Amino acid sequence: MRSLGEVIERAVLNAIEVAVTRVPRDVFEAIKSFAQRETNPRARRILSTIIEAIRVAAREGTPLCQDTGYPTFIVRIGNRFPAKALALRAIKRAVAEATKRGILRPNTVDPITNRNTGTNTGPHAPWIEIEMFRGDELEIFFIPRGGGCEGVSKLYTLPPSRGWEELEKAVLQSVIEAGPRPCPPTFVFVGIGATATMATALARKCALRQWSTKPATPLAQLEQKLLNKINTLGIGPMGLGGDTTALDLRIEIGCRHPATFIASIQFSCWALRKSHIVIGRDGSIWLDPNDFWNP
Amino acid sequence: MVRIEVVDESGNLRVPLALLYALLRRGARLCGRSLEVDPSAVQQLASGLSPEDMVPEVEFCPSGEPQPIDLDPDDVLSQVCTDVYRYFPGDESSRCAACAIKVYSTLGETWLVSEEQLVKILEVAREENLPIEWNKGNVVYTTCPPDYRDAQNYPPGSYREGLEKLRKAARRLLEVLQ
Repeated sequence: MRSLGEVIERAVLNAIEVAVTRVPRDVFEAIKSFAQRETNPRARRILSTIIEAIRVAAREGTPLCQDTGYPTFIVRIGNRFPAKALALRAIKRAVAEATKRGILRPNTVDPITNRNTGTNTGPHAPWIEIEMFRGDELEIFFIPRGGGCEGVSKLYTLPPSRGWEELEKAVLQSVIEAGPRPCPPTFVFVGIGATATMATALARKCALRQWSTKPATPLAQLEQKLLNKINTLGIGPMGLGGDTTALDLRIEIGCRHPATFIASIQFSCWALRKSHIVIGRDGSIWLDPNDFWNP
Repeated sequence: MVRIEVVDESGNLRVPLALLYALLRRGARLCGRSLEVDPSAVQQLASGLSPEDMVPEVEFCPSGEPQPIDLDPDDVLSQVCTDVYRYFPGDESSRCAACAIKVYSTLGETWLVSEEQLVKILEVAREENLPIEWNKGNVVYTTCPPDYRDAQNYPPGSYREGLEKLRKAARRLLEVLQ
């Protein structure tokens, strides 16, 4: 019988492998949907190639991209889950093991010595954001963050009196400046909050949402409006022109300080990789069917 | 009742502030991007606005981006204004000050103040002789002269006196807005 620590480590290892070799089902549906509507022949061809690449990667178990990202986790720990510190150690062990097996490329470099740690572990690596909740489960989201996307992230401190109005300008400016670098079509994530840390964390949470039709709320309508504007820029898939520059734009908000309106703008390439698992205190494992599937 | 669209989808005002003020004083109701107005009120205004309907207005200052001013949280301005600015670059050379009061949300297409509060906001501008402009859903009180070029005649640093003038108006508004 395996210990709970071993169960967590194996489950995370599996989640890492799935995340880097296939996109979630909703992401695949988004790409297909935009491919059907794309009017530029070259862009249509690129989107078809992306769809084919997704199928090949899943079939052959190879990474979707050579950059398997900086290992990033959002971990929600139930107050009655018994092995809290153990769980975090198990995640770190799973990352090192995934690197050893060649599932993850070593992507953690010491900024002082410029040496790659070679294991995807080290100071603050993997990056783990922790939340607590009332419950007896351990919920883990693995979101590998590629260097191309992360390198074009932006942080804006907007005037509070014109926050929403200036946001539109900031988003479009960010997308234009990013150009082809985040491998469009992208997902654009916007976090709004009182502090830079808060806005950044909220933008990161956008990755957890699923692609779907926007509801009729003012915020969702703004998301749709900004997405439509981005898709008039003509940057297109891989920056080679076309209607499909972004697949989705998501905004997460928190209360702002009276004197601040801080917006963090982050990108994901078309391969928005994520895997979501829930581990019960009895060692049972739930795999999110949106992430664990075969295209 | 007739509906008059007063704000466009980007949050810009489509009518002069004086007309907005005149219609509100004649019982118009705020309704999304529009005003609901009794036709008789429109007829009354057909011959033009009276001096009582006028509010002092100013065009946006061309001195570049306004510089935000950080205020003490206890300052009455920070309790009333969404943003406080000074105009003309350089702390010492700045001439004018401004206070932005958010009254309309472009995102929600809703008014953040009641008709009575908006009338009061515009009334204070009249009575305190503070020229105002509409900027992205904000009523912005400024201490700039209506013709911004005259601001060059103000001595450098005179925005500080302007802040005092704005504080006086803010004290009156605090009671209305709370």
